[in-house]
Amino acid sequence: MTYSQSATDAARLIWPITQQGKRIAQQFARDHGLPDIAERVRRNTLAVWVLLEFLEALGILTDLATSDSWNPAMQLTEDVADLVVPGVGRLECRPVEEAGVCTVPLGVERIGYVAVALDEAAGEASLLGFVPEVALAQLGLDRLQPMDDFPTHLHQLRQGALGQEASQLTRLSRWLEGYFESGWQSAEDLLAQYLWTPAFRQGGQSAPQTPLQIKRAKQLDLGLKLGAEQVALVLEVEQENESAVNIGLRLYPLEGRLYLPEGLTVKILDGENTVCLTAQSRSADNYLQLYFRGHPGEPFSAQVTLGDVSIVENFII
Amino acid sequence: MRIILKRSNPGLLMNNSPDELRRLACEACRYCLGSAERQRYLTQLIRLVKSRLWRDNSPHYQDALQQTWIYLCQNLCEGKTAKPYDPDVASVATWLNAYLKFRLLDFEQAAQADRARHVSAYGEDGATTDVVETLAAKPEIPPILERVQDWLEQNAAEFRKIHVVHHPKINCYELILRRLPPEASWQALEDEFGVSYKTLESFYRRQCKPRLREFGRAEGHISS
Repeated sequence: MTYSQSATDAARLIWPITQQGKRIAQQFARDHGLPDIAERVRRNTLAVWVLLEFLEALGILTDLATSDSWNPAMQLTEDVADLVVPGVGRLECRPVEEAGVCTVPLGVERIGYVAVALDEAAGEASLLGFVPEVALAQLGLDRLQPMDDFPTHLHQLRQGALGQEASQLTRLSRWLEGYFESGWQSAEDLLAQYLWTPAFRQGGQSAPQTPLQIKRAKQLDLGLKLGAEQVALVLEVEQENESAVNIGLRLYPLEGRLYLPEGLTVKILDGENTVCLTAQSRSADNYLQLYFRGHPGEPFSAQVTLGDVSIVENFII
Repeated sequence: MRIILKRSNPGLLMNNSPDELRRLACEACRYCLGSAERQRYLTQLIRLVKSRLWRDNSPHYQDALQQTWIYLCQNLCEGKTAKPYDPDVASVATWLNAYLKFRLLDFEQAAQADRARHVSAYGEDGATTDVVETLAAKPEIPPILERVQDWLEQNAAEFRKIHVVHHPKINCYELILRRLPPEASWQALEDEFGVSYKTLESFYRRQCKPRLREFGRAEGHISS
């Protein structure tokens, strides 16, 4: 952008607060017995809804089902006002308090923070502007960029996300917190044709705790590189304890094929690019698998090779 | 769409004259549907045209306006749900005002039909009583806090087994319970358990919050 502009009255975007938004906000608030929380939830819901209706008018889709602001247990335990834009990330839509104070959560991953001034008497809200990131818990309203620039911000992020996908670092610790990088979908969805068997056997009665197991799958986009061969890379992650994470990696054929291509190799490399584990498919293998264990923060990569073509996925535990 | 008069830095132009609005409309349509540029001009257009739109005190005004903005975005260039905007026929504000007034009329007629139904179903005092409101006033389902507490108790045995290494007392059950409102601060929990709040917070983030989130997702809100 070659010009900058503060959130003056001229730059604010006034957006309607619809009956549907009010109804949802009231319904959410009724679910909370404590008046302070009910009011917080009501205002956060309105702020999120107003931004959602703005984005949807522009044709930008949002996903409430995975937004914590729509989750009653998250509303109860935290001051949440997030809105997920699929393929881009999580926005924060904060209602501005009467004194012009806008408080934002720190230490959470957000792709932008939008300040929303609710004027409920007039039945409308002002989208005052946004900032891509914050350093302080108080959002300086004079630092806001105008909403005119907001679509460009989202498009740049989406471009970035697409460009990074090949070399993206996948953070498994984030998986254990319930966040997944784009491209990693539920293993059951991608591999609907397989009956799923867990990679880790529950150790019968001696299991000290029920570990949280996460499994996600990624279609390795080998179309261009390996002809018609498409494979699914499936990772199953289990937190054994504070310092150890169990990882199961499998490769499956996709597109209704029964067998992996012969000679498909998968290698696990550590942070120094030393090969730690390797497996190779024979003529009629349904899948390949490797198991290993690592510490939180430890990097590794998985290299999938067929002939002279190879794809690397980078991870950090 | 036809070619435009002259280009200038769109951010600097803040007037909302009919000519300027028409220029923004044409500019928006030079870019393809769904592009950042198109969305930028649409945002600007919405922001500037608003003060030229019809305004009244109808309870449905904001809903009609929301529909008007959707109509603008969908039909300015391509005409996805109606005939596309023609700058030779009307100014942007005139075009939108016509649509806005029709929507207000629709809402008013729907409300009248609704009132007629309510009165016939609920007798003479039905004029101001909202049936939906009356039904919603007696929710049998306890608030979410109680539902979370019940869920926590039901899973207590399992959640107690999930704990900070060497600290069986600092477990999933205990931390979720303490962080329910009115929640204990991390500092208070650090003092009580003798474990740094960073460890507690990180354990909560990894082991407690995802379970709580999963429960909340499955549970949803009571619908009225």
